[in-house]
Amino acid sequence: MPPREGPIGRRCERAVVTAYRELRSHGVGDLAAFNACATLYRIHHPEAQVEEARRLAAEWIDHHVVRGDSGPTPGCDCG
Amino acid sequence: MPPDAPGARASAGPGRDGLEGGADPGRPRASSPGPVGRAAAPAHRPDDAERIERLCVERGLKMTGQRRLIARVLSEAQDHPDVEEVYRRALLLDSKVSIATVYRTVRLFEEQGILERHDFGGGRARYEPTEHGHHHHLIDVDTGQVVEFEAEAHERLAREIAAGLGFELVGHRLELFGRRAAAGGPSSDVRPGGAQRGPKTPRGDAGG
Repeated sequence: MPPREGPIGRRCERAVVTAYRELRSHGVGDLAAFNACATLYRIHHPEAQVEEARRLAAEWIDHHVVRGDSGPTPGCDCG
Repeated sequence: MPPDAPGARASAGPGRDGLEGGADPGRPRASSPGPVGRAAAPAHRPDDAERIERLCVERGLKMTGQRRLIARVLSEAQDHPDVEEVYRRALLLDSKVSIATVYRTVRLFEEQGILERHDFGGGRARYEPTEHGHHHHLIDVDTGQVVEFEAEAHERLAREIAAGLGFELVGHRLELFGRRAAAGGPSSDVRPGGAQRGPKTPRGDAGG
């Protein structure tokens, strides 16, 4: 996995990306880690539907972890 | 998977699911797809993979290795897979592919009009490449298998209904939800008046 980039602005996004990295580093499979992170997003945002949680988790994980990109990502206005 | 599952769209005619009466049976398209969860033997459609790649380039999308892989999986699918099924099949080709990348790519392809998304119930969206010609879907409620079909009689009826209401038909969808009849004679699984023999061509009466 690419090295960690600078701080992520959104609290929920930080949580999702951190959780995914740590789950994977402890041997959890990709699909299970992803599903856990989508659930984690809904803990931060109980109003979000499952589809939105999966969409954003995918965006963030693909952006930060898979591709190691910097730059803005779509999502909420969490501080 | 009940026929009135959320997301299940009614066929032509206001508020009605399926047709009634003796409409001509539809014609199945190509080979019958396998159920989701099993990689059915694909009829390889190389044109689809090339088409997906060409559309990506036309729309300014970078065609990365993983996008090519996902395009290939989608072009080979006959069963309208959901994202997780696409992921499982992509994994067979490249063990490094990530579910997040698959999700993001499928969504991107959908946004760009390269894939069409379907809600057949079951809580997961399913996808197929666009420009597969106008066709409809029959969903096996027990296995999730999706059978594509064309039905000229239905098309005519839809146009007539629209015309009768003072409209010109510009598009429509038909989704049938069915259960395969047991082969041979009646069995305890046969529902009174509801069982249909097993052909892949759907009937005009939706039953149920």
